Amino acid sequence: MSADPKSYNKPQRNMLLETDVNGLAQAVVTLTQEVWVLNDRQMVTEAVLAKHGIDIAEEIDTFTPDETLQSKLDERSRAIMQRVFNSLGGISSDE
Amino acid sequence: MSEELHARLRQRGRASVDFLANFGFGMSDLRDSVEEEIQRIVPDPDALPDDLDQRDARMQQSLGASQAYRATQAVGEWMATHHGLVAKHAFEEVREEMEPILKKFEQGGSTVEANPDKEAPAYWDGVDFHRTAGGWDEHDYQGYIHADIVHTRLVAKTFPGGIFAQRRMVAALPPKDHYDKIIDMGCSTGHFTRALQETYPDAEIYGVDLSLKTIQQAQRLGNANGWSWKLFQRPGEDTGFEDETFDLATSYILLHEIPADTIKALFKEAFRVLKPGGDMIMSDVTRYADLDKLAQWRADAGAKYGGEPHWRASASLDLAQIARDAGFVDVTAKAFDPFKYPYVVQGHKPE
Ligand SMILES: C[S@@+](CC[C@H](N)C(=O)[O-])C[C@H]1O[C@@H](n2cnc3c(N)ncnc32)[C@H](O)[C@@H]1O
Repeated sequence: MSADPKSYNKPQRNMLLETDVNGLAQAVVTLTQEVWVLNDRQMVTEAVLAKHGIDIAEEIDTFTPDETLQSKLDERSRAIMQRVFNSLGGISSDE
Repeated sequence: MSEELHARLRQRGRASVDFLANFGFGMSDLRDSVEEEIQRIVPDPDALPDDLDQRDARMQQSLGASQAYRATQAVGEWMATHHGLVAKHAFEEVREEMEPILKKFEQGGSTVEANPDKEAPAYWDGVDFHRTAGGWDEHDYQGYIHADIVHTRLVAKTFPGGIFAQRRMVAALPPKDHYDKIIDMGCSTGHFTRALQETYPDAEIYGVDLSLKTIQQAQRLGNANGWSWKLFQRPGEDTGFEDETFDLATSYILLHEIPADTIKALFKEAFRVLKPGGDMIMSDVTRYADLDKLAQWRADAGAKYGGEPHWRASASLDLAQIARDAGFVDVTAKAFDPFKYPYVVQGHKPE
Protein backbone atom coordinates (compact mmCIF):
# COMPACT_ATOMS: atom_id res chain seq x y z
CA MET A 1 0.00 0.00 0.00
CA SER A 2 1.62 3.27 -1.02
CA ALA A 3 0.04 6.43 0.46
CA ASP A 4 -2.19 6.50 3.53
CA PRO A 5 -5.59 5.31 2.23
CA LYS A 6 -7.30 7.77 4.57
CA SER A 7 -5.91 10.58 2.43
CA TYR A 8 -8.65 9.54 -0.03
CA ASN A 9 -11.31 10.60 2.47
CA LYS A 10 -10.87 14.26 1.57
CA PRO A 11 -9.04 14.54 -1.77
CA GLN A 12 -7.75 17.84 -3.10
CA ARG A 13 -9.93 18.80 -6.03
CA ASN A 14 -9.74 21.30 -8.84
CA MET A 15 -12.99 23.16 -8.06
CA LEU A 16 -14.41 26.63 -8.46
CA LEU A 17 -12.17 29.66 -8.62
CA GLU A 18 -12.88 33.20 -7.54
CA THR A 19 -13.67 33.99 -11.17
CA ASP A 20 -16.58 31.54 -10.96
CA VAL A 21 -18.30 33.45 -8.23
CA ASN A 22 -20.61 35.33 -10.60
CA GLY A 23 -21.79 32.14 -12.23
CA LEU A 24 -22.37 30.79 -8.77
CA ALA A 25 -24.53 33.77 -7.84
CA GLN A 26 -26.61 33.23 -10.99
CA ALA A 27 -27.07 29.60 -10.05
CA VAL A 28 -28.07 30.35 -6.49
CA VAL A 29 -30.69 32.86 -7.58
CA THR A 30 -32.10 30.45 -10.17
CA LEU A 31 -32.33 27.84 -7.48
CA THR A 32 -33.98 30.19 -5.03
CA GLN A 33 -36.62 31.03 -7.61
CA GLU A 34 -37.34 27.33 -8.22
CA VAL A 35 -37.56 26.58 -4.53
CA TRP A 36 -39.85 29.52 -4.04
CA VAL A 37 -42.22 28.52 -6.86
CA LEU A 38 -42.52 25.08 -5.31
CA ASN A 39 -43.04 26.42 -1.83
CA ASP A 40 -45.75 28.71 -3.05
CA ARG A 41 -47.46 25.87 -4.92
CA GLN A 42 -47.30 23.56 -1.94
CA MET A 43 -48.74 26.10 0.48
CA VAL A 44 -51.47 27.08 -1.95
CA THR A 45 -52.34 23.42 -2.57
CA GLU A 46 -52.63 22.68 1.11
CA ALA A 47 -54.72 25.84 1.66
CA VAL A 48 -57.09 24.96 -1.19
CA LEU A 49 -57.53 21.45 0.11
CA ALA A 50 -58.02 22.62 3.68
CA LYS A 51 -60.83 24.86 2.37
CA HIS A 52 -62.46 21.62 1.25
CA GLY A 53 -61.79 20.00 4.63
CA ILE A 54 -58.96 17.71 3.45
CA ASP A 55 -55.67 17.29 5.35
CA ILE A 56 -53.17 15.82 2.86
CA ALA A 57 -49.87 16.13 4.72
CA GLU A 58 -49.62 12.50 5.90
CA GLU A 59 -50.82 11.08 2.62
CA ILE A 60 -48.16 13.04 0.76
CA ASP A 61 -45.52 11.73 3.12
CA THR A 62 -46.41 8.12 2.42
CA PHE A 63 -47.31 8.49 -1.26
CA THR A 64 -45.60 6.25 -3.83
CA PRO A 65 -45.74 7.73 -7.34
CA ASP A 66 -46.91 5.40 -10.12
CA GLU A 67 -44.79 4.97 -13.23
CA THR A 68 -46.37 7.81 -15.16
CA LEU A 69 -45.97 10.29 -12.37
CA GLN A 70 -42.46 9.03 -11.62
CA SER A 71 -41.31 9.70 -15.16
CA LYS A 72 -42.80 13.18 -15.05
CA LEU A 73 -41.04 13.79 -11.73
CA ASP A 74 -37.76 12.54 -13.15
CA GLU A 75 -38.06 14.78 -16.16
CA ARG A 76 -38.83 17.83 -14.04
CA SER A 77 -35.99 17.22 -11.57
CA ARG A 78 -33.49 16.75 -14.38
CA ALA A 79 -34.60 20.01 -15.96
CA ILE A 80 -34.22 21.90 -12.70
CA MET A 81 -30.79 20.49 -12.10
CA GLN A 82 -29.71 21.31 -15.62
CA ARG A 83 -30.73 24.92 -15.23
CA VAL A 84 -28.79 25.27 -12.01
CA PHE A 85 -25.72 23.31 -13.02
CA ASN A 86 -25.55 24.98 -16.42
CA SER A 87 -25.58 28.42 -14.82
CA LEU A 88 -22.74 27.27 -12.64
CA GLY A 89 -20.75 26.04 -15.62
CA GLY A 90 -21.44 29.10 -17.74
CA ILE A 91 -23.57 27.19 -20.25
CA SER A 92 -26.65 29.02 -21.40
CA SER A 93 -29.82 26.96 -21.20
CA ASP A 94 -32.69 28.66 -22.98
CA GLU A 95 -35.84 27.70 -21.22
CA MET B 1 -34.86 -7.93 -2.27
CA SER B 2 -38.02 -9.18 -0.58
CA GLU B 3 -40.77 -6.57 -0.84
CA GLU B 4 -41.10 -6.40 2.92
CA LEU B 5 -37.44 -5.42 3.23
CA HIS B 6 -37.85 -2.65 0.66
CA ALA B 7 -38.57 0.54 2.63
CA ARG B 8 -41.42 2.80 1.66
CA LEU B 9 -39.68 6.13 2.02
CA ARG B 10 -41.44 9.27 3.14
CA GLN B 11 -41.75 12.20 0.75
CA ARG B 12 -38.65 14.07 1.83
CA GLY B 13 -36.40 11.02 1.66
CA ARG B 14 -38.04 9.68 -1.49
CA ALA B 15 -37.73 12.95 -3.39
CA SER B 16 -34.16 13.50 -2.17
CA VAL B 17 -33.12 10.03 -3.28
CA ASP B 18 -34.80 10.60 -6.65
CA PHE B 19 -32.87 13.83 -6.92
CA LEU B 20 -29.64 11.87 -6.54
CA ALA B 21 -30.82 9.24 -9.01
CA ASN B 22 -31.37 11.93 -11.61
CA PHE B 23 -28.15 13.75 -10.89
CA GLY B 24 -26.19 12.33 -13.80
CA PHE B 25 -28.90 13.47 -16.20
CA GLY B 26 -28.92 16.88 -14.58
CA MET B 27 -25.19 17.12 -15.33
CA SER B 28 -25.50 16.03 -18.95
CA ASP B 29 -25.04 19.45 -20.61
CA LEU B 30 -22.05 20.19 -18.43
CA ARG B 31 -20.58 16.80 -19.20
CA ASP B 32 -21.10 17.25 -22.94
CA SER B 33 -19.32 20.56 -22.78
CA VAL B 34 -16.40 19.07 -20.83
CA GLU B 35 -16.29 16.18 -23.28
CA GLU B 36 -15.86 18.59 -26.20
CA GLU B 37 -13.10 20.29 -24.30
CA ILE B 38 -11.37 16.96 -23.65
CA GLN B 39 -11.54 16.02 -27.33
CA ARG B 40 -9.98 19.37 -28.12
CA ILE B 41 -7.12 19.15 -25.65
CA VAL B 42 -6.43 15.43 -26.13
CA PRO B 43 -6.53 14.76 -29.86
CA ASP B 44 -4.30 11.72 -29.34
CA PRO B 45 -4.58 9.84 -26.02
CA ASP B 46 -1.32 7.99 -26.72
CA ALA B 47 0.55 11.28 -26.44
CA LEU B 48 -0.46 11.72 -22.79
CA PRO B 49 2.25 11.13 -20.16
CA ASP B 50 2.76 7.50 -19.14
CA ASP B 51 2.88 8.25 -15.45
CA LEU B 52 -0.66 8.44 -14.07
CA ASP B 53 0.10 11.30 -11.68
CA GLN B 54 1.78 13.33 -14.39
CA ARG B 55 -1.09 12.56 -16.72
CA ASP B 56 -3.58 13.80 -14.16
CA ALA B 57 -1.53 16.94 -13.55
CA ARG B 58 -1.56 17.62 -17.31
CA MET B 59 -5.31 17.04 -17.56
CA GLN B 60 -6.05 19.15 -14.51
CA GLN B 61 -3.95 21.97 -15.82
CA SER B 62 -5.69 21.98 -19.20
CA LEU B 63 -9.20 21.37 -17.94
CA GLY B 64 -8.76 23.75 -15.04
CA ALA B 65 -9.23 26.56 -17.59
CA SER B 66 -12.76 25.38 -18.35
CA GLN B 67 -15.58 26.81 -16.25
CA ALA B 68 -17.77 23.84 -17.18
CA TYR B 69 -15.09 21.44 -15.90
CA ARG B 70 -14.71 23.31 -12.63
CA ALA B 71 -18.47 23.22 -12.24
CA THR B 72 -18.63 19.43 -12.83
CA GLN B 73 -16.02 19.03 -10.14
CA ALA B 74 -17.85 21.22 -7.64
CA VAL B 75 -21.21 19.62 -8.36
CA GLY B 76 -19.66 16.13 -8.36
CA GLU B 77 -18.12 16.87 -4.98
CA TRP B 78 -21.58 17.61 -3.61
CA MET B 79 -22.75 14.20 -4.80
CA ALA B 80 -19.69 12.47 -3.35
CA THR B 81 -20.12 14.01 0.07
CA HIS B 82 -23.93 14.01 0.20
CA HIS B 83 -25.22 10.72 -1.20
CA GLY B 84 -24.46 8.85 2.02
CA LEU B 85 -26.11 11.53 4.12
CA VAL B 86 -29.22 11.72 1.98
CA ALA B 87 -29.61 7.93 2.11
CA LYS B 88 -29.12 7.93 5.87
CA HIS B 89 -31.68 10.68 6.42
CA ALA B 90 -34.18 8.89 4.18
CA PHE B 91 -33.73 5.80 6.33
CA GLU B 92 -34.10 7.73 9.59
CA GLU B 93 -37.54 8.92 8.45
CA VAL B 94 -38.75 5.30 8.26
CA ARG B 95 -36.56 3.74 10.93
CA GLU B 96 -39.41 3.23 13.36
CA GLU B 97 -41.50 1.16 10.99
CA MET B 98 -38.53 -0.64 9.40
CA GLU B 99 -36.67 -1.66 12.54
CA PRO B 100 -39.08 -4.47 13.57
CA ILE B 101 -38.92 -5.86 10.02
CA LEU B 102 -35.12 -5.68 9.97
CA LYS B 103 -34.94 -7.38 13.37
CA LYS B 104 -37.37 -10.07 12.25
CA PHE B 105 -35.11 -11.04 9.36
CA GLU B 106 -32.11 -11.30 11.66
CA GLN B 107 -33.78 -14.54 12.81
CA GLY B 108 -33.74 -17.65 10.65
CA GLY B 109 -31.39 -20.05 8.91
CA SER B 110 -28.86 -17.41 7.88
CA THR B 111 -26.38 -16.67 10.65
CA VAL B 112 -23.71 -14.07 11.38
CA GLU B 113 -20.51 -14.57 13.35
CA ALA B 114 -19.25 -11.17 14.52
CA ASN B 115 -15.59 -10.65 15.35
CA PRO B 116 -15.58 -7.34 17.21
CA ASP B 117 -12.24 -7.94 18.89
CA LYS B 118 -10.23 -8.69 15.81
CA GLU B 119 -8.33 -5.59 14.69
CA ALA B 120 -9.46 -4.35 11.29
CA PRO B 121 -6.65 -3.99 8.72
CA ALA B 122 -5.18 -0.54 8.02
CA TYR B 123 -6.16 -0.69 4.34
CA TRP B 124 -9.84 -0.76 5.38
CA ASP B 125 -10.21 0.72 8.85
CA GLY B 126 -11.15 4.42 8.88
CA VAL B 127 -11.32 4.63 5.08
CA ASP B 128 -14.48 6.29 3.78
CA PHE B 129 -14.97 3.92 0.84
CA HIS B 130 -17.10 5.63 -1.83
CA ARG B 131 -16.67 8.80 0.26
CA THR B 132 -19.40 7.56 2.58
CA ALA B 133 -18.41 9.18 5.88
CA GLY B 134 -17.53 6.38 8.30
CA GLY B 135 -17.06 3.77 5.58
CA TRP B 136 -18.94 0.48 5.47
CA ASP B 137 -19.78 0.32 9.15
CA GLU B 138 -20.69 3.87 10.15
CA HIS B 139 -24.39 3.50 10.97
CA ASP B 140 -26.29 0.74 12.83
CA TYR B 141 -28.07 -0.06 9.62
CA GLN B 142 -25.36 0.93 7.15
CA GLY B 143 -25.68 -2.39 5.31
CA TYR B 144 -29.39 -1.92 4.90
CA ILE B 145 -29.01 1.71 3.85
CA HIS B 146 -26.40 0.73 1.33
CA ALA B 147 -28.29 -2.21 -0.17
CA ASP B 148 -31.82 -0.84 -0.19
CA ILE B 149 -31.21 2.84 -0.79
CA VAL B 150 -27.81 3.42 -2.37
CA HIS B 151 -27.62 0.24 -4.43
CA THR B 152 -31.21 -0.51 -5.32
CA ARG B 153 -32.51 3.02 -5.76
CA LEU B 154 -29.43 4.80 -7.05
CA VAL B 155 -26.72 2.64 -8.55
CA ALA B 156 -29.13 0.10 -10.08
CA LYS B 157 -31.01 2.88 -11.88
CA THR B 158 -28.11 3.95 -14.05
CA PHE B 159 -25.32 1.37 -13.88
CA PRO B 160 -24.46 0.18 -17.41
CA GLY B 161 -25.50 -3.46 -17.78
CA GLY B 162 -27.55 -3.55 -14.58
CA ILE B 163 -25.97 -4.53 -11.27
CA PHE B 164 -28.21 -7.54 -10.64
CA ALA B 165 -28.28 -8.94 -14.19
CA GLN B 166 -24.48 -8.69 -14.34
CA ARG B 167 -24.12 -10.72 -11.15
CA ARG B 168 -26.48 -13.41 -12.42
CA MET B 169 -24.52 -13.61 -15.67
CA VAL B 170 -21.23 -14.06 -13.79
CA ALA B 171 -22.68 -16.55 -11.27
CA ALA B 172 -23.60 -18.84 -14.18
CA LEU B 173 -20.04 -18.91 -15.62
CA PRO B 174 -18.36 -21.57 -13.44
CA PRO B 175 -18.05 -24.85 -15.34
CA LYS B 176 -20.15 -27.20 -13.20
CA ASP B 177 -23.92 -27.27 -12.86
CA HIS B 178 -23.77 -28.01 -9.21
CA TYR B 179 -21.64 -26.97 -6.25
CA ASP B 180 -22.10 -28.37 -2.75
CA LYS B 181 -20.20 -25.75 -0.80
CA ILE B 182 -19.40 -22.20 -1.92
CA ILE B 183 -17.41 -19.41 -0.28
CA ASP B 184 -18.17 -15.83 -1.37
CA MET B 185 -15.34 -13.50 -0.32
CA GLY B 186 -16.24 -9.87 0.37
CA CYS B 187 -19.90 -10.88 0.15
CA SER B 188 -20.99 -7.53 1.65
CA THR B 189 -24.79 -7.16 1.62
CA GLY B 190 -25.16 -10.34 -0.43
CA HIS B 191 -26.02 -9.22 -3.95
CA PHE B 192 -23.64 -11.69 -5.56
CA THR B 193 -24.32 -14.31 -2.89
CA ARG B 194 -27.92 -14.12 -3.95
CA ALA B 195 -27.03 -14.64 -7.62
CA LEU B 196 -24.98 -17.68 -6.57
CA GLN B 197 -27.81 -19.14 -4.53
CA GLU B 198 -30.29 -18.62 -7.33
CA THR B 199 -27.92 -20.30 -9.79
CA TYR B 200 -27.03 -23.19 -7.48
CA PRO B 201 -30.17 -23.59 -5.37
CA ASP B 202 -28.87 -26.58 -3.34
CA ALA B 203 -25.48 -25.08 -2.53
CA GLU B 204 -24.49 -24.39 1.05
CA ILE B 205 -23.08 -20.86 0.98
CA TYR B 206 -20.52 -19.25 3.27
CA GLY B 207 -19.78 -15.53 3.10
CA VAL B 208 -16.92 -13.54 4.62
CA ASP B 209 -16.54 -9.77 4.84
CA LEU B 210 -14.69 -7.33 7.10
CA SER B 211 -17.84 -5.26 7.56
CA LEU B 212 -20.27 -6.51 10.19
CA LYS B 213 -23.06 -4.15 9.14
CA THR B 214 -23.05 -5.37 5.57
CA ILE B 215 -23.15 -9.06 6.46
CA GLN B 216 -26.03 -8.33 8.83
CA GLN B 217 -27.88 -7.10 5.78
CA ALA B 218 -26.84 -10.21 3.84
CA GLN B 219 -28.33 -12.21 6.71
CA ARG B 220 -31.66 -10.38 6.35
CA LEU B 221 -31.65 -10.93 2.61
CA GLY B 222 -30.91 -14.63 3.14
CA ASN B 223 -33.63 -15.05 5.73
CA ALA B 224 -36.20 -13.09 3.76
CA ASN B 225 -35.69 -15.64 0.97
CA GLY B 226 -35.47 -18.74 3.19
CA TRP B 227 -31.74 -19.31 2.52
CA SER B 228 -29.27 -20.53 5.15
CA TRP B 229 -26.12 -18.52 4.60
CA LYS B 230 -23.25 -18.78 7.07
CA LEU B 231 -21.76 -15.30 7.30
CA PHE B 232 -18.52 -14.42 9.06
CA GLN B 233 -16.87 -11.11 9.85
CA ARG B 234 -13.47 -12.25 8.66
CA PRO B 235 -10.99 -11.15 5.98
CA GLY B 236 -11.01 -13.01 2.69
CA GLU B 237 -7.25 -13.45 2.85
CA ASP B 238 -7.47 -15.22 6.20
CA THR B 239 -10.84 -16.99 6.43
CA GLY B 240 -9.96 -19.42 9.22
CA PHE B 241 -11.62 -22.34 7.41
CA GLU B 242 -9.96 -25.75 7.12
CA ASP B 243 -7.97 -26.67 4.01
CA GLU B 244 -10.06 -28.22 1.22
CA THR B 245 -13.47 -27.16 2.51
CA PHE B 246 -15.18 -25.65 -0.56
CA ASP B 247 -16.10 -26.61 -4.12
CA LEU B 248 -16.28 -23.05 -5.45
CA ALA B 249 -14.56 -19.86 -4.25
CA THR B 250 -15.83 -16.49 -5.52
CA SER B 251 -15.53 -12.75 -5.14
CA TYR B 252 -17.40 -10.00 -6.92
CA ILE B 253 -15.93 -6.48 -7.08
CA LEU B 254 -13.99 -6.98 -3.86
CA LEU B 255 -10.48 -6.83 -5.34
CA HIS B 256 -10.41 -3.10 -6.21
CA GLU B 257 -11.02 -2.38 -2.52
CA ILE B 258 -7.88 -4.12 -1.29
CA PRO B 259 -4.15 -3.55 -1.80
CA ALA B 260 -2.08 -5.66 -4.19
CA ASP B 261 -0.35 -7.83 -1.57
CA THR B 262 -3.73 -8.61 0.03
CA ILE B 263 -5.11 -9.61 -3.38
CA LYS B 264 -2.25 -12.07 -3.78
CA ALA B 265 -2.90 -13.45 -0.29
CA LEU B 266 -6.60 -13.74 -1.07
CA PHE B 267 -6.01 -15.87 -4.18
CA LYS B 268 -3.71 -18.12 -2.13
CA GLU B 269 -6.36 -18.41 0.55
CA ALA B 270 -9.00 -19.33 -2.04
CA PHE B 271 -6.66 -22.02 -3.34
CA ARG B 272 -6.05 -23.36 0.16
CA VAL B 273 -9.70 -23.66 1.18
CA LEU B 274 -10.80 -25.22 -2.14
CA LYS B 275 -11.05 -28.99 -2.46
CA PRO B 276 -8.88 -30.55 -5.17
CA GLY B 277 -10.84 -30.12 -8.41
CA GLY B 278 -12.59 -27.03 -7.00
CA ASP B 279 -13.28 -23.93 -9.07
CA MET B 280 -12.46 -20.25 -8.54
CA ILE B 281 -14.14 -17.19 -10.06
CA MET B 282 -13.16 -13.64 -9.14
CA SER B 283 -14.64 -10.58 -10.84
CA ASP B 284 -13.53 -7.02 -10.63
CA VAL B 285 -13.35 -3.67 -12.34
CA THR B 286 -11.99 -2.91 -15.82
CA ARG B 287 -8.23 -3.44 -16.13
CA TYR B 288 -6.22 -0.34 -16.95
CA ALA B 289 -4.46 -2.51 -19.53
CA ASP B 290 -7.76 -2.73 -21.44
CA LEU B 291 -8.17 1.06 -21.60
CA ASP B 292 -6.46 3.78 -23.60
CA LYS B 293 -4.60 6.46 -21.67
CA LEU B 294 -7.53 8.83 -21.63
CA ALA B 295 -9.96 6.18 -20.37
CA GLN B 296 -7.40 5.19 -17.74
CA TRP B 297 -7.27 8.79 -16.61
CA ARG B 298 -11.06 8.89 -16.33
CA ALA B 299 -11.14 5.70 -14.26
CA ASP B 300 -8.28 6.92 -12.12
CA ALA B 301 -9.90 10.31 -11.46
CA GLY B 302 -13.15 8.49 -10.62
CA ALA B 303 -11.25 6.47 -8.04
CA LYS B 304 -9.44 9.50 -6.64
CA TYR B 305 -12.62 11.50 -6.05
CA GLY B 306 -14.81 8.47 -5.39
CA GLY B 307 -13.12 7.17 -2.24
CA GLU B 308 -11.23 4.26 -3.82
CA PRO B 309 -7.64 4.32 -2.52
CA HIS B 310 -6.73 0.86 -3.82
CA TRP B 311 -8.36 1.02 -7.24
CA ARG B 312 -5.34 2.17 -9.25
CA ALA B 313 -2.95 -0.47 -7.94
CA SER B 314 -5.59 -3.15 -8.11
CA ALA B 315 -6.80 -2.33 -11.63
CA SER B 316 -3.17 -2.33 -12.82
CA LEU B 317 -2.55 -5.94 -11.75
CA ASP B 318 -2.51 -8.98 -13.99
CA LEU B 319 -5.01 -11.04 -12.03
CA ALA B 320 -4.65 -14.13 -14.22
CA GLN B 321 -0.94 -14.27 -13.38
CA ILE B 322 -1.69 -13.83 -9.69
CA ALA B 323 -4.16 -16.74 -9.93
CA ARG B 324 -1.50 -18.92 -11.58
CA ASP B 325 1.08 -17.93 -8.98
CA ALA B 326 -1.38 -19.04 -6.31
CA GLY B 327 -1.50 -22.51 -7.91
CA PHE B 328 -4.60 -22.33 -10.09
CA VAL B 329 -4.52 -24.05 -13.47
CA ASP B 330 -6.57 -23.59 -16.66
CA VAL B 331 -6.73 -19.91 -15.76
CA THR B 332 -8.80 -17.71 -18.06
CA ALA B 333 -9.55 -14.00 -17.94
CA LYS B 334 -12.28 -12.23 -19.81
CA ALA B 335 -13.35 -8.59 -19.98
CA PHE B 336 -17.01 -8.31 -20.88
CA ASP B 337 -18.02 -5.88 -23.61
CA PRO B 338 -18.93 -3.12 -24.16
CA PHE B 339 -17.21 -1.63 -21.10
CA LYS B 340 -14.65 -4.36 -20.45
CA TYR B 341 -16.57 -4.81 -17.24
CA PRO B 342 -16.78 -6.95 -15.29
CA TYR B 343 -13.35 -8.48 -15.64
CA VAL B 344 -13.66 -12.14 -14.72
CA VAL B 345 -10.84 -14.50 -13.78
CA GLN B 346 -11.54 -18.22 -13.51
CA GLY B 347 -9.34 -21.15 -12.56
CA HIS B 348 -9.27 -24.58 -11.21
CA LYS B 349 -7.43 -26.33 -8.37
CA PRO B 350 -5.74 -29.46 -9.72
CA GLU B 351 -7.16 -32.83 -8.57
C1 LIG C 1 -17.98 -3.57 -3.31
S1 LIG C 1 -18.28 -4.54 -1.93
C2 LIG C 1 -18.56 -6.16 -2.53
C3 LIG C 1 -19.84 -6.30 -3.24
C4 LIG C 1 -20.54 -7.62 -3.15
N1 LIG C 1 -19.69 -8.77 -3.42
C5 LIG C 1 -21.72 -7.56 -4.08
O1 LIG C 1 -21.90 -8.46 -4.91
O2 LIG C 1 -22.47 -6.61 -3.98
C6 LIG C 1 -16.72 -4.73 -1.18
C7 LIG C 1 -16.81 -5.39 0.17
O3 LIG C 1 -15.53 -5.92 0.45
C8 LIG C 1 -15.34 -5.85 1.84
N2 LIG C 1 -13.92 -6.06 2.09
C9 LIG C 1 -12.89 -5.20 1.92
N3 LIG C 1 -11.73 -5.81 2.19
C10 LIG C 1 -12.03 -7.10 2.51
C11 LIG C 1 -11.26 -8.24 2.86
N4 LIG C 1 -9.93 -8.20 2.94
N5 LIG C 1 -11.90 -9.40 3.13
C12 LIG C 1 -13.24 -9.47 3.05
N6 LIG C 1 -14.01 -8.44 2.72
C13 LIG C 1 -13.41 -7.26 2.45
C14 LIG C 1 -15.92 -4.52 2.21
O4 LIG C 1 -16.22 -4.47 3.58
C15 LIG C 1 -17.16 -4.47 1.32
O5 LIG C 1 -18.27 -4.98 1.98
